[in-house]
Amino acid sequence: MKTTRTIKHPQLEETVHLLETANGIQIALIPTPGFHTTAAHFGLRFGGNDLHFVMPNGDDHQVPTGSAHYLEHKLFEGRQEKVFDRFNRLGANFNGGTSFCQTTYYFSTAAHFDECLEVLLDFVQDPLITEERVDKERGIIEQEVRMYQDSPGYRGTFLLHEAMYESHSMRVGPGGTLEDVARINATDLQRCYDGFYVPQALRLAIAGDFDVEEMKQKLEPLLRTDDTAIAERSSDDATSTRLTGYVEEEFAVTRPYVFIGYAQREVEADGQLRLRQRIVASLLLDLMFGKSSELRQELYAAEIIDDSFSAYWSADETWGHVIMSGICDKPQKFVDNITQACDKFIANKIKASDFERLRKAAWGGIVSGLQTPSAVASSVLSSMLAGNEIFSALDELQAISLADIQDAAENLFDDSKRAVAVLTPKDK
Amino acid sequence: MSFLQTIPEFHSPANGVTLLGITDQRFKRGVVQILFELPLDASRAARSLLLDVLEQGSAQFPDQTSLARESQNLFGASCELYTERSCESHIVGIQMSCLGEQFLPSGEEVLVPILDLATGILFEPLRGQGAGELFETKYLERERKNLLDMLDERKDDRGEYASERFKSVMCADEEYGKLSWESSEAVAAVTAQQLEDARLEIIQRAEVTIICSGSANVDKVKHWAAQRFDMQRDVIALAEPSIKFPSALRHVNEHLEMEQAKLHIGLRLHLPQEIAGREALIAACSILGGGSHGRLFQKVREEKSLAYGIYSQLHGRKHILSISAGIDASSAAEVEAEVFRQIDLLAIEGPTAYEMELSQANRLNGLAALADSPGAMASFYHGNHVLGLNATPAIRAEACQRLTAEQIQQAATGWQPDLVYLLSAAE
Repeated sequence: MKTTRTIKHPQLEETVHLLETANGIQIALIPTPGFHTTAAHFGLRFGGNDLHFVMPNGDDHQVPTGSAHYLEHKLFEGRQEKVFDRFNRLGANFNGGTSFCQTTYYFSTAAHFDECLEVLLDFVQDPLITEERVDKERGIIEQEVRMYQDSPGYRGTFLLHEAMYESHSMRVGPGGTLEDVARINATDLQRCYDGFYVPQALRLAIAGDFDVEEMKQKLEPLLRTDDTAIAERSSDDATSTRLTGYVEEEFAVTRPYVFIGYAQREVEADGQLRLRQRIVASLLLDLMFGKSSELRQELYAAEIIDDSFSAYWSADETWGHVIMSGICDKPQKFVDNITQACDKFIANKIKASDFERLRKAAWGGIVSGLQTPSAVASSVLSSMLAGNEIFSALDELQAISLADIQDAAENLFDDSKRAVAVLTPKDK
Repeated sequence: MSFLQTIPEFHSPANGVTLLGITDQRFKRGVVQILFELPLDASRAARSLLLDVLEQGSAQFPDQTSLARESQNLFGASCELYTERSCESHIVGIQMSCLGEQFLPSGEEVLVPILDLATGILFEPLRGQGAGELFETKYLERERKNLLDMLDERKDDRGEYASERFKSVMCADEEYGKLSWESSEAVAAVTAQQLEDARLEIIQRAEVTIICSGSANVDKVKHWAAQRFDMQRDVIALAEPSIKFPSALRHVNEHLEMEQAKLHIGLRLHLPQEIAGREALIAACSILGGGSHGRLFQKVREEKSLAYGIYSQLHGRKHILSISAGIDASSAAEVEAEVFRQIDLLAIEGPTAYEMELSQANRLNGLAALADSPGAMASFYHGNHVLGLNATPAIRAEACQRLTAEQIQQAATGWQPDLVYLLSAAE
């Protein structure tokens, strides 16, 4: 294992030591002196969207939706003993998570760090997947999927995705459909594991009050030494937008839930450029619809929106979009007014003073977000998986200009890339 | 493993105002919570609506836009106003959060300005433009409509709604079963004068607790609080939570269109007032269903695959323990039987040595980890203060380590089943 770089960020008062093993596992060690807990976050770029891939030997595989999430559950089964039991004996806080593009496993602990680290690296790097074990988990996962299906926010978002994206992967949540969960088998999961859980894809971030050299020595014997090649994702990704325009579905809600989505015309595949794009989009949406925006105040005063209104931007290498949503009585009036507000905002020039004030607020948010070892390790792993420079958000924030925001506004709110999804009450 | 031995600072900057300081300069953000505590009386509908009206602006910052802009100028400092039922009291809360002084550019000050901004909303509200108009009528009516809409929409969150209904049904004739806003009808009937009366009552008659955590400067907050609350205050004495025991187990099944049913089981128990007894009860609850190490998780989820999650919890100062799970409605009877079987077994046989090891490891890690979370520290010390258990995490850890199986078994004895509540789709 060699140290590749050390990054010091004086404003954040954080230092990260970057290491890499000979077979490509990348590690970030972030000492946080004075803290009682140590957190380790281990992950890889493999998530709910990865349904079709080609193995290094050329075999082409298609797996059901929800496979990455099911695999995450199965890894917690452990090879010889349940991971829950091992972590519980050590008293650690632990969990895992699967998103569209990533899977992560993590723990934080105030004691027994060495043992916890051993558990984490063991169960992620050395699982046992059998049909019997896969079948046993099915009922639990079905309950988890059902839990999400009761959420209007969740259902509305995916109804909108269905209207926006041609690709099946973006149209279903990382948990998969109940039908697919029912048919996932051990072969599917083993293929996913063999294709993506390989050293060159694994990233590990550890934050706590520790000595860097000692931590390196602890890690050496716990990391995989094989040099397995990674599978290649197929190209049927989400970039192909579908844009049905308007979709509606009856749902058990009291008032209509409206979701307006704009698919991003161009998404940056490069992680650093995408981080910049993310910050620009975030500032833009705050300028447009944040609580300090006159536009929001107008919409609120006219009772077009209420406190249920929200707007956010989300993206990865092959897809990106902004989603604005709210609960209202008249969906069409809501859509008309929000889209007109977007046009109005673009037509008017953004005031420099508004931009600088929001930049100041964002600066405070970024600094104070890195508060605990868990938050630091999580943020660092996110950067590693997204492919951006660790702790570079502040620098990107400083480098962004008013013109960048104006350009983003003109690019993002393209009417030809807009779709609308509405959940309507069943009894109306 | 080391545990915090910090004894929080207690100050009384004004009559009826307690300041609790548990700050630490390791943290990048300072947090100040101001809790105004009042009875869950007929004014609570007015208090709930009042905050929504007040948030529209203050005398100094007369609209939401200028309020938000000022907090952005304070390096993204934030403030939030809320009302909630806390055990059997009504809380009006103001929570402020700002960047720690050590991370600010030289000469910048954000703590006192955000305290002034947030409390200015309550103390120096935006008045109506008309002669004698207490609040802008158009704001009042708009916020009333928004609140009524929001109250209707709460059924859309099945989990939260089931939890609310469970408490309302189980404690129908107790303060604990009351809704924080009373009812939609009560909100619809609130007048501007009642809003103003409620505002004055909050300022002049509520028991006030200020909690400083993270990197907030306690001295600055103390000085600020002494000035802000420099007035005659006639604080309303609050009653202790009521205790009730059931005559028989009740089953209530309500219906709502939903994919996954929500099961809640409530039991009544005696809440120990001393640290050892309290720790024993926490251990018993943890062994039953305090997490993935708990019996219910192991039996209901891991062995029978009947739920994604099933957990037990103690309800603070109220003498209630509840179990909640998201399940298939057809499994309700099986899950209920398993829950009561495990409760009986814990009371009859006590915990195993292995269960004690797991619950102790979990509890000790939680107590040690408090030191790294300003929010958890604030919650722990405030909870201790409210319960009259002025113990540090180190003292609680020591008590936890001394627990015997007999003490835990004893703590699990005598729990009285009160209600099995199921919210599910109609058949």
